[in-house]
Amino acid sequence: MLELVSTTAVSVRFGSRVALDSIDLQIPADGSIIGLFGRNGAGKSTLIRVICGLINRHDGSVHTNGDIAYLPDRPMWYPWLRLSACIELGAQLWPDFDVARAHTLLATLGLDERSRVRELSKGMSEQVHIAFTLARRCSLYVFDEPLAAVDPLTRDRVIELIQRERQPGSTVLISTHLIAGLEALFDTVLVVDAGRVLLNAPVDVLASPGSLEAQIKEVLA
Amino acid sequence: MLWRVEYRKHLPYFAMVIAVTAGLGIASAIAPDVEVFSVLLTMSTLVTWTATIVYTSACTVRFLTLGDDLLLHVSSLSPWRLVTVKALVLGSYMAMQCAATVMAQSPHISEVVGPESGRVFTYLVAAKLVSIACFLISVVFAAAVAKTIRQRGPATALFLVALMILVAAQAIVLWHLGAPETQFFFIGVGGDFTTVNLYANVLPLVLTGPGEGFLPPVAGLSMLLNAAVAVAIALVTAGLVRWRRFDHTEL
Repeated sequence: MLELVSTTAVSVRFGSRVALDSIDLQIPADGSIIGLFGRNGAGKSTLIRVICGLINRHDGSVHTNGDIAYLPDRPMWYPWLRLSACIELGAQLWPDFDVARAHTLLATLGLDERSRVRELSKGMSEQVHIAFTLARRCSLYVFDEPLAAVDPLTRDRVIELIQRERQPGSTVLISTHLIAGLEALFDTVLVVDAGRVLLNAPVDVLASPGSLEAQIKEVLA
Repeated sequence: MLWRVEYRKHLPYFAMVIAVTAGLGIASAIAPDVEVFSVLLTMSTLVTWTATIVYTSACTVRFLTLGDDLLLHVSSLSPWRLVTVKALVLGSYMAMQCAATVMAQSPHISEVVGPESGRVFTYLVAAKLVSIACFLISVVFAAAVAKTIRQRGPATALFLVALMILVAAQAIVLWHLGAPETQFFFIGVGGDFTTVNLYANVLPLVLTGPGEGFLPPVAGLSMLLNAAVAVAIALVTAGLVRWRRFDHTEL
């Protein structure tokens, strides 16, 4: 199977701190949704940044196949921009940004494109960020903590948006602290701690998929 | 759209400094006998240009070295292309500020310099524009050097040190190449235009000396030196970008 990302012995150090320690990882082009779990400071964001090509000073090698759409763990669109201007800008920033799809996604969210980003509620801003990321035609979507700091209702909307609107056949990698209630979302579980991959397995081969949270806690213990 | 967004980001700051300069220039022209306007104009020129140097440096180092402005960093465009866009936008705003400054000072220059005022205007604008270009290229170079460090504080400190060494070295070279023993250099701008304003990178220097007139050979030399340094640093920066791997993430 084609691999979208393949890392071999990737290590990253920030001064004396080892952020990633000899990571070997393959992300296949199988249309799965991968959950990336780990404590704060475990190396999740660093791993994502290596995969997305933002951290280039590392040991080991990283090979990617196809474009990756990445949404960081904090707001990135300028608050003073109107949504219509965001779409125009997106088309310039990414060659795979589908303008028509971005308009459709905003309409799906029921948003007026004349609104400015700063006028959106926190939950709606998160959904707009995800919509603009999904407007790119990519084979891999990477979301860093998209479910943090949103209420349960918004969380469900965000999950639905990702499941429904991603490019058909594309793979999704979601970094999150939340496990409870999300068991059905993920096809594969990736657990990192202290810069190392502790678990990388399909959910359906884990002993009891219904208690994913307990299993991840056990791995991290 | 990218250019429009970049211009929009810096509009509040530059609109303010250009409005202050233009306003005081107009006030001085309307009421030339009111000394407070000319004093304020001189002071505001000093303050606004110092602020602009700090502002443009901060914008560049925050984007390139510290990884702020996430949207651009996660885009498909090269950060080096993006920093070039940013530098050109900042440079064009600085050129507008330069035009506002020279226009505000024009009545006074014409009065003091008389028939040579055309040449002095041309020199002032050209020298300032070359110094702005040299400065922006130096800032990008210093930010690229500082990008090799992965901690916010030390990276910022390295940026400042690299930029200061570059400017100081250029000032010393200009001093040695261009100053006959009978003349004196000091840092600052001569507001009376009976002296020559020079730029070592972006650092304003004033040359005073007997019998040199308004535009002695050292004025041309300072512009040539700035242009040569700009080209050299641009080439070194291009080499650095090719030679080293850089992270493009927030520190």
